[in-house]
Amino acid sequence: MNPGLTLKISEIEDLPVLTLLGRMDAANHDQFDTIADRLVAAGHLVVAVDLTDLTYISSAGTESLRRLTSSLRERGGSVCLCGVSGVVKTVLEITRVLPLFQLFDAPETAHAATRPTP
Amino acid sequence: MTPTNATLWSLAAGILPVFAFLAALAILDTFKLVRPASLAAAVAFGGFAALACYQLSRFIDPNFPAYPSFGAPWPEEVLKSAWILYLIRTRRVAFMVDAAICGFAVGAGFALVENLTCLPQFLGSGLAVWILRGFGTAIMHGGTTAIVGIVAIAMRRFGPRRSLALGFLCAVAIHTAWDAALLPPLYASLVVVLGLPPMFVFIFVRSERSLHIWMGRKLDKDLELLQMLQTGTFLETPPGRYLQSLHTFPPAVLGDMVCMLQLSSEISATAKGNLIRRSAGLPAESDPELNRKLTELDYLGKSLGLAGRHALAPLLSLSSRDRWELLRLTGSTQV
Repeated sequence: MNPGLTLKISEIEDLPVLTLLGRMDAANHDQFDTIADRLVAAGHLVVAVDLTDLTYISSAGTESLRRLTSSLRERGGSVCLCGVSGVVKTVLEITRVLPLFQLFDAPETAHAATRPTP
Repeated sequence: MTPTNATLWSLAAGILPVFAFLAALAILDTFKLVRPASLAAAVAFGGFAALACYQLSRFIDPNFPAYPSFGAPWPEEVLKSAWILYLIRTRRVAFMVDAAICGFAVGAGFALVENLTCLPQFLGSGLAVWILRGFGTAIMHGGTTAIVGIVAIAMRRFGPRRSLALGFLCAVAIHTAWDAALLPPLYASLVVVLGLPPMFVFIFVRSERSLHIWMGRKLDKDLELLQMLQTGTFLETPPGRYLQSLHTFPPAVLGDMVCMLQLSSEISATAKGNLIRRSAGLPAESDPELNRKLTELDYLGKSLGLAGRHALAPLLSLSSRDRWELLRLTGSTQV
């Protein structure tokens, strides 16, 4: 267990929400990869990643996010990034990966936007 | 007085003044820049240097009568200065205050062992001789090595080799003047005892003022940068625009440059916060995340490469003081 990053998995109906708390760096980004791979393998096409309480992300972390979105896009899915702000937003902007994601304020709005219309 | 008591009093007179002076210097160090373990290491090194010089003088003395006055100061100051060189090369000192204290500690260790080796020679000389040795020779040894450290730090803009060489030459000049007995021993001791304390007080006050100014300015800068990063406005600021203009670097490297700025500012701000706490007499707060932050800094350094680090240098000037901050902070959590 790496104390720098805490990962929580929850669901809003059928939308998996991966909440990241703390710092995502070279030493702990593989924790995220493991859970992301598990979600992809389970057949989820849309995954919400809540970054509201993430305070640091380096290229190792952005690469993990890019990897998840590539895996889902191959299957016609996408990643919803929620609560992107501050330094995390700056890093994602300057690394030009932000356009790869759908952006939302919170997982609830991501769920409302991605819910299939009846 | 029995011979044993006389020996003990003589030794005390020869040793105590220099260690009392060293203790006073350590107390004057408001920021507690030098830890007791570092002082002990410097004293021990000084002792070894004295032993080495004693062996050398035994080998040379019979063939060169002028050696004690004009030859001995050179190897003695070379060996004592070696510790200052080590401290500067490994970024363990960055201010005149810590350089002076560590230098004086080396000299104190040297004087301690030198007085022990001289014991049989001066045993019957009476207490006055030992008082002169304690207040004169011993403090001279501490003072000359302290001067090497002070000059090396004060003149570092001329480069480490030149500044250290200048300090070393000053030390040799003073030491030679002492050993050649240009002044009668009593006057020479008075010059040392009355001259050194005001010089040290002046240096300490000046260095501390400069440390306060530097800390305030740098802390403001670090906090301002952190605020820009945390509010997400960094890319609209001049440093942010500068980073975005570095088109030759891959976007991932630009991202890591932002991370490098964030981490360095966080570590630097914490380090300065700890210095302020120490100066207020409070214990330094260790950052439980520090070791992982330093590991991440290594990762970022590799990710940026040499070219990236050069490109980031205008925003991230890692001076010897800043590197020292990191070392100090690392040490404070490891102890």
